Amino acid sequence: MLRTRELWTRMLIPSMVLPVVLGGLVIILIEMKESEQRDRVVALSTDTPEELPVAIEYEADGWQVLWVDDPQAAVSDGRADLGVGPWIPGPGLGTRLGERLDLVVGDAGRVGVSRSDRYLWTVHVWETEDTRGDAKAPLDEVEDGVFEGLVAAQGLPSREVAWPIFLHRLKPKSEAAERDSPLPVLLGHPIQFCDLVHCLSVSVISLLGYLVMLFGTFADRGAGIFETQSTLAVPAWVVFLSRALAMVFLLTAATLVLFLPVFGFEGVVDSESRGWAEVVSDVLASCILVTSLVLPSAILSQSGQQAASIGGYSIIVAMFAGGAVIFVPSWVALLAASLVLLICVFALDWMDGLNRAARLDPQ
Amino acid sequence: MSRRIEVEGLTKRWPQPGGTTKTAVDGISFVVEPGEVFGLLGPNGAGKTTTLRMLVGLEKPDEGTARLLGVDVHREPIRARRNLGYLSTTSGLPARLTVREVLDVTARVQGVRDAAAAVERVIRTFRLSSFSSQFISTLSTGMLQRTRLAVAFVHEPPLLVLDEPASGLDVVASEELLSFVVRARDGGAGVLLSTHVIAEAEEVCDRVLILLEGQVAAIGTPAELCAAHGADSLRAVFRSLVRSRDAGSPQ
Repeated sequence: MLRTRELWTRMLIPSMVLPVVLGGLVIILIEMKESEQRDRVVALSTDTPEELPVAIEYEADGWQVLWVDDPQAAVSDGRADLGVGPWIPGPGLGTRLGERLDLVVGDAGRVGVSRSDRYLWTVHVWETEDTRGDAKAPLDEVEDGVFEGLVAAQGLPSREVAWPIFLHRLKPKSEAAERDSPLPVLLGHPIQFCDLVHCLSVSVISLLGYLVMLFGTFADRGAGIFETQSTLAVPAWVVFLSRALAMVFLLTAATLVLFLPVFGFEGVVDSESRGWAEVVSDVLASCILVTSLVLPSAILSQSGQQAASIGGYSIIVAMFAGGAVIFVPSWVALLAASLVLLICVFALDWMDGLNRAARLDPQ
Repeated sequence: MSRRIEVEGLTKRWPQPGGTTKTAVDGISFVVEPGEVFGLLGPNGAGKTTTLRMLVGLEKPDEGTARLLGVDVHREPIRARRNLGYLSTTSGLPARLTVREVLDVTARVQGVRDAAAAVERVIRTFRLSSFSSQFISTLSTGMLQRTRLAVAFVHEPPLLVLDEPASGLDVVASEELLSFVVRARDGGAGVLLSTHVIAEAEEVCDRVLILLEGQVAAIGTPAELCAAHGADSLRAVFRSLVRSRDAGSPQ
């Protein structure tokens, strides 16, 4: 109880400084990159109309690559089959691909569409009657050529530009992308870029949880705060639950602030299957799982060294458990994680965990 | 008024390497009445702290019972602790809360109806106002001990269990703290005071229990103990008992 207030009022703010600063830096970098890329557009077309406002032109694997001034115009009137361009103005964050296509492309059944994220080049290809069977390299083999062309046009050596290009093949009249992704399918779940970001965030959550466990919960045991709490007229499970909730809140807030730009610009927008609610829910489930695993390490350890080693094993398990939430629906992950946390809290109560500090030094 | 503490046959054994056990507290019994300061005396390792920890529910006894105001502390711990104020050398307070915040949270957790008024009262009583806005981590030893006592007192419990409350304090601070104990007794509280400082016990305790190797060596008022052992002070009684124990031991 005491600790909850302390975490919320004093520890949270200092702990937020690093994520906020990092998040701010990411946003600034994104803005800088976007301003660099503004008005620099690539369009691939089998038939280049003269009226297309071409800025740069080159060839890649049999495809003509054009940089045009206005990618929306190029794709919306059907003169480009494939395009790469800057962020398309519109609804912005959280908008599904299909909705955005509808806004940009008038006749979505025939033309290619230009779309990219600000810092992740994303190429969408729609097969049309005009391009099908054409004697050109398959579009998914054009990636390197397009990328090299982009790099060359920007005057940068390729090793300085690490943004990957993903090719998405769209069926006519379809709003769903068939991914030509290099990422594998695991347990029936096609791994997406946002899943990788999620796993990265789980690693950060686990490490944060480890630090909070060692320097928060376990340190409190050593300082005798548990002893004070265990002589108050409040059940031990309430003390454990309040600590757990404080830790979950802290981890979730830190992770969301730290990864929000990444989730926002890459994760959600690049994914057809996960929206904001799912992303936040998965992060929350991971934080609950990490808390469930590191809290007992702090409560049951007999020494700081033991807490550090058991906590180390716990966060490895937590990384796998937190990463595994991408394979199940978000609500299932959240429910399961909450149940695990409750089981841990009541198990610690049953094991008389609040009084265990005393056994370190019996008299 | 009901007895503040009733202890019957309280026993605690600690497991030792090799599967044996060491009896830390061996079947002790005593009562603490309202308006009484009851001293628990003994040398280091006599079992005082273990006894107190069993009394407040931090340890489960292997045998015997402990009741606080008639409530069995191990069967109904939450109810029993509502009547309890506990202070020990090992209990801690959150370093990043202020004195006032710690008192406020404790009062609320202990179910005090008007927490703000209770906090103001103990701040006045224990003269904490000059540092009530300071973080716990910035307090001196004396300030911290007064704050701990205030925390134990904020819900005005009818029973105080104090484990070496003057430990680490200078003479002035120690006397001040003991004066708070006397005031609590005068207000009707039962106080169980564990100490190894005989002078403290002589000064404030109405009755004392001398614990040697986990067993009750003597119990009674200081005057009764002096008369029984033909001694002129509690210190002399204590020495006599310790010598008798040493003479009776295999060594």
